[in-house]
Formats: sequence, C-alpha cells, structure tokens
Amino acid sequence: MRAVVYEAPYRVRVREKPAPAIEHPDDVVLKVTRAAICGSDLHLFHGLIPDTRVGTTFGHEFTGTVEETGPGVRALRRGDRVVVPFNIACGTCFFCARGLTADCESTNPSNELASGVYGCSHTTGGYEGGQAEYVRVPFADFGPMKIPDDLEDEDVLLLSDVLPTGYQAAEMGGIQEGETVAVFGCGPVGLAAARCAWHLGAGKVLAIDRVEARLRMAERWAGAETIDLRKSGDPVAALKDLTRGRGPDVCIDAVGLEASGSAFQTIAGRKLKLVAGSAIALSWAIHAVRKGGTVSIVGVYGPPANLVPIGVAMNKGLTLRMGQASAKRYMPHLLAHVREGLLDPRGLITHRLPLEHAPRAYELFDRKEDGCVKCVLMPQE
Amino acid sequence: MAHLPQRGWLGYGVDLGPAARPGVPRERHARDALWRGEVPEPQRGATLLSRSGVRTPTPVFGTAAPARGLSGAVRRLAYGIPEHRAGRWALLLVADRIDVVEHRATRGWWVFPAAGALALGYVAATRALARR
Repeated sequence: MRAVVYEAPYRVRVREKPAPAIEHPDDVVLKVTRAAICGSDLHLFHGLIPDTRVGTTFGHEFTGTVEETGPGVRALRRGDRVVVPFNIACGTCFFCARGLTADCESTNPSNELASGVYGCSHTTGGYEGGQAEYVRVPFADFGPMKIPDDLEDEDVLLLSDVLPTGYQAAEMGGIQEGETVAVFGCGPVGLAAARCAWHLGAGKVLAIDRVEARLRMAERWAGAETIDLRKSGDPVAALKDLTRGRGPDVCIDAVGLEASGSAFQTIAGRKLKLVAGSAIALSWAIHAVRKGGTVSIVGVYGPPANLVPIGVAMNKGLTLRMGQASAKRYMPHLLAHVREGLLDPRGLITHRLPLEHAPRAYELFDRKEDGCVKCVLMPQE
Repeated sequence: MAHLPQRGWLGYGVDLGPAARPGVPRERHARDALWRGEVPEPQRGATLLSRSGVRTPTPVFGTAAPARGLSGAVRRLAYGIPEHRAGRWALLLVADRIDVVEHRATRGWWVFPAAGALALGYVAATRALARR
C-alpha cells in the first residue's frame, strides 16, 4: 500500500509499505478515506518528540471503511464507515471504566504518560497512523464510531481529535455563564475551543495569534474577538486592557511546545533542547488569567520538563487543568451538535490533497501558507 | 470587530449546566471502588516488545518500527532509565538522530560523501605525484 513515511526531521515521503494485518482478535483493518494532518504531527515532523522512528506513518485523525475484521469484533462489519478517536483505548481497564480513555493502560507499553495513539512517536505505543491507504485499528468494538448515513466523512472527520480536544479545553476551564475566555493559538484546536466556549456560556471569547488567516477564521468561524500578536507584542497587557485590568476568567493554551514569542524559550527549548520545547504561551496564560482563575492546557508538551512560572500560578491561586482529550467520551455529544447544525467542523478544512501530495501538504500546514488552517489527505483519490 | 453578538451565536449556552457536559464529573464511577478493571486478551508476537526495548508488555501494542541497529541499542538503553530521569528522554532524542543517519546510509546516501572523499583523495594523490 502507499503510505506517508517519516524519513528525517522536515522530511516525509510517500512510499510503498506492507499493508496492515489483523494482529489481535479485536482489531479491524480500515480502508482510509480521509486523514487530516494535525499540529501534533508537526511536532513529530520537526523531530521534537522523543522516539520518533524513521519509517513510521503519522496520522491520528482519520475516517475509513471497514475492510477486514478480527474474529472477536461484534459491532462492526466490512463496509461500515467509521470515524476513529485518536486515543487507542480498551474500554474495560481501570482508567477506561472511569471515562479516562486518554489514560488507558492496555495500549501503551512504552511508558505511563498516556494511552496508545495512532501514528505518533513510539512513546505512545508504536502504532502506525492513518496517513496511508489502510490502517490497523485495535479494540474496534470500543473505539470507532459509525458515521450516520446522512453525514459525509468530512462532516465528522474532526470528531477524531480537534473537536473533542477543543471542547474538553473549554470544559476544563469550568466556564460559568458570562465569563471571559482567552484562547492562545488559533490553530484548529484553538478555534474549536473558542467556538465551544460559547456553548458553555462564555460572555466574551478572545483569541490570540499572529497569523492573519487564522485570526480571520477565529472571527468568522468561532465568533471571537482577536488579538493580533504582530501588532500588540505583549498579549498579557492586551488581555488585561480588555478585562478591566484583572485578566480573563479562563485562559486556554492551545499552542504547546512550539510557541514563538520568547527568544529565551525558543533557544533553550526548540534550538538547544535543554528543556522540552518553548512554553511561552502557557507562561502568558498563567500571567494573564485573573487571580483565582483557571488555566486549561491542551497544547502538547513532552517530557521531561518545561520553563513554566509555577510560582505565579501558586501565588495567584490558579486552577490548572490539562490533558490529552478522552475523545471517545465526547464523540456522541459532539456528533449530536453536528447533526443539529450547532457545530460545523468541516468549515475548518481549508485544503484537500491526494495522499501522493503529502510532502506538499506538510509544507503548506507547517508554513501556514495559502491561508492553511486544516489540511486533509485523500488516500483513495 | 466582526464577531457575532454572544447571545445570537448558534448554540449559545446549550452546554451551560454541568449535566450537559460529557466530561463532568471528570471521573465516572467505576462499577465499585475496588474494581481494578479487566485485562484484555494479549496480542501475540510479544517477542517484538523485547526487541523494541519496552519495559512491560500491555495486552495490545503497535508494531510500526521495531528498534534495530545502533539506534535500537541506544533506545533499549534509554528505556532502562526511569521515566522521571531526563537521561531517558535525551537518549531517545539521540537515538532518533542516529536512526536518520542509519536510514540514509542504508538508502545509499553514503555513496555521495564516499565518492567525494575518493575524488579528493585522487586529486591529492595526483598532485603529490606531479610534484615529484
């Protein structure tokens, strides 16, 4: 089969690979119909995540058609269309029973950081990703969600990660009616968080970025007021100005370890790798949020440590909430919103390319060229 | 500002109450407090795990790119170090760079520097002979 293959930092190619097989009775093999490129894929693409092995296929946001089922699979049949949550979860372990599928202990043999994840570094289990013609999906009776006949694959593709992660980010903020929410980063997850904040009753939503197309998308798609970092160099001061000097009630970090805006953090974290990436967006969030407020973190950070002003957080009495989204938990709820027309995740997709053009797609998304917000690969076209 | 008025935003406040939020409470009640979960049937081919240098097998695991070569040896060394030690992660990043070099060598990238070195050697040798 044809698949996107990681060959070195800043280099992916489309190569021939062996097609996946059933390796466990509860597996299915999917014929991939759509596979999105995520900001987390860029962290891998840049060589920032430990144990990213040459030859791995990325991609944890995908839809597909069931091609082959393992003998233990009961809920799916060949030909079913499904969308797959990015966390690989068994549904029965200690953590899954509590709804924390992002912490499933049955799928990641490498460490205790998280559950298995498709197409990530081997620190999350060494699973192949969906940027390929076919992909293996473990625990198929629990993870994948059937796509209703009245919806197309692209209508629900972003239920695999972007929408649940954005929703969970807003939800972890514990938003009360009328509160002000600031979202750092207008990538797809930040945009989803900003839009979902309205659903949770926010009174004002502020979105911060430095990319023109993304700021316009934040206004148009998420209904947010925007702060352009190119014009106001200090986002903390800008947020205080807009909130009577106190700061927003909730700040959401949807940027993660590749944030720009601090030469020191960039050199220490991204260039010299003395710490695990640049945490300047998180630092801004902690400084900007009002005393006693909440900082919600869904931007990805890796081990072992980051430069985070924990003393400021402690003295301000902040609540810090964070985590990989337990996507499975949110998918039915968000699917209902999509069907009711309350959410339009398809509206985030700006670029569609055939699988063979994956290197160009990575380049577009990485450089944010041509107004690229969300790039989707089409392996069967 | 082009944003819509908050109250007019489609779906405004639809998930306002805690009961409407799927992640509240954060932890659902398990069947009982002492229930430790079920262990799924194990995936076969566990020998791959030891080759990958991982510590404890889980019932299911990926088989994307088993550790091999010098990078694999460094990865096995790294996975022997506890997660809370920075050395584990630093070694994994080193292994990633070695992996790239190994990959380029096996794909024939070594031919170009080797050819360059041979050409330089030839030029140096012919000049040295010409001086005699």
